Amino acid sequence: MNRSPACLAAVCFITALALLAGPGSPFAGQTSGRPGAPTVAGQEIPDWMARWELARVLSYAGRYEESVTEYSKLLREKPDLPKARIELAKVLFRQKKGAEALGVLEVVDVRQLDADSVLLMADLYRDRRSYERAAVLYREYLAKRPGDNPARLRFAEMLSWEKRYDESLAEYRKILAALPGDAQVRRKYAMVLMWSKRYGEAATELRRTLK
Amino acid sequence: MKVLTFIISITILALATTAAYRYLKQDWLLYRTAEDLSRKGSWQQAIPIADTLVRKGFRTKDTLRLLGRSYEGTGDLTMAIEAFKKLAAADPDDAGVELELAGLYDRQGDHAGAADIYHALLAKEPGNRAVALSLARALTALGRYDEAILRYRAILGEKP
Repeated sequence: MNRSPACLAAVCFITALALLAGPGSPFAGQTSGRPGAPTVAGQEIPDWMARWELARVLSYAGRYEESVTEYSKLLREKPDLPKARIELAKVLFRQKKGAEALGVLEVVDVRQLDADSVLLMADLYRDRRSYERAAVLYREYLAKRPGDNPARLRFAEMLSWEKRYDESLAEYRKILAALPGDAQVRRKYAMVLMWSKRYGEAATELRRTLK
Repeated sequence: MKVLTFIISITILALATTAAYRYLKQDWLLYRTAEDLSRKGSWQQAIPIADTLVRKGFRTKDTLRLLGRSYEGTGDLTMAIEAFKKLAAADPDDAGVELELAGLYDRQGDHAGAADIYHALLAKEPGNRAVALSLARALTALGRYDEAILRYRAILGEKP
C-alpha cells in the first residue's frame, strides 16, 4: 500500500459523491431531453435542397417552364435523385410534353417508381402506342391499386385495340362488378363483345343500358 | 488509524452535505427529476412536476422550456405552444425560443402564425438562411406560392 492518505481520501470522497448522484441529485447531468428541436435552425441548407423545393413550388404555382428549368439545374448537380426525376416527368406531362416526360422516366429504375409514376408511365406508353410496355405497367399499377377504375378502363380499352379481347373483357367485368350501373362502361364492354363476335352477349349488355 | 479516521470523516462530510442539499434545495431536486424524466421520454410524469415548479416561479425560463418540451413530447402541441408563448414573453430576445414556437405552430398546422414569427426573426437577422427556408416552407403551405418563390430565389442568391 504505497498510496498516500490524501489520495485515498480523495478516491473515497469522489466515490461517495458518485453513489449519491442519481435522478434528482444535484450532481446529475444537466442536459434536457428534446422531443423535437427546430428542424432547420443553425443547419447549413445546401443550395440543391432549396432549388428542389423551389422547383416544386413553381410547379404548384403552374409556372411549369421555370419549374422544368430548376429541376434541370438540380439534376445536373445531383443526377442521383430519382424522386426529383419523377417530379420533373410529371411537370413535363402537365406541359403536354409526353415524349420528354417518358424520356425522363425511362432513366429511373422502375422499382423506384411510386404507383402514380407507374400509371403515368403506362399512360405515356399507351399514348405512344407502346402497348406491350404499357400493359406490363398497367398490371403492376392495378395490382397495387385495384380500385382505380378509370385506370383499369384505359387498360381495358388498350387491350381491345390490340385485339386481346378476352383479356380486355376480363378487365371490363372487374369494372362492371364495381360499377354495375355505369351505362357508358357497359356500352364499351358490349362493343368489345361485338368485336369478339359474341353478338348475343353484346345485345344483352346493350339492352341493359337502355333500361 | 489516523488515515482511517480521515477517510471516514470525509465520507460522512460528503453524505451530510448531500443530505442537507436535498433538504434545503427541494425545488432544484424536483427540477432535476423532471428534467431526467423528460430526457428518458417519461413526459407525462415530467409535466406535473414542471408545472408545479412553474407555478412556484422556480427557474421560470428553464422550467417553462422543460414543460413545453414535455408537452411536445406527449404530442399536446396546444399546451406546448402555451408554455413556449410564456417563455417567449419572459425572454423576448431569445431567437431560439421564437424559432421553437414557430416550429410548433407549423406542426400544428398554423402556418400563418409560424410565418409571422419567421418574418419577425428575418427582420432581426436578414441573412439567416434556415429561417428564410422555414418562412418559404410556411408560405408554400399557406398557398402563397409567389411569395415563397421570391424567398427561395433569395436563399439561392438569385434575382426574382
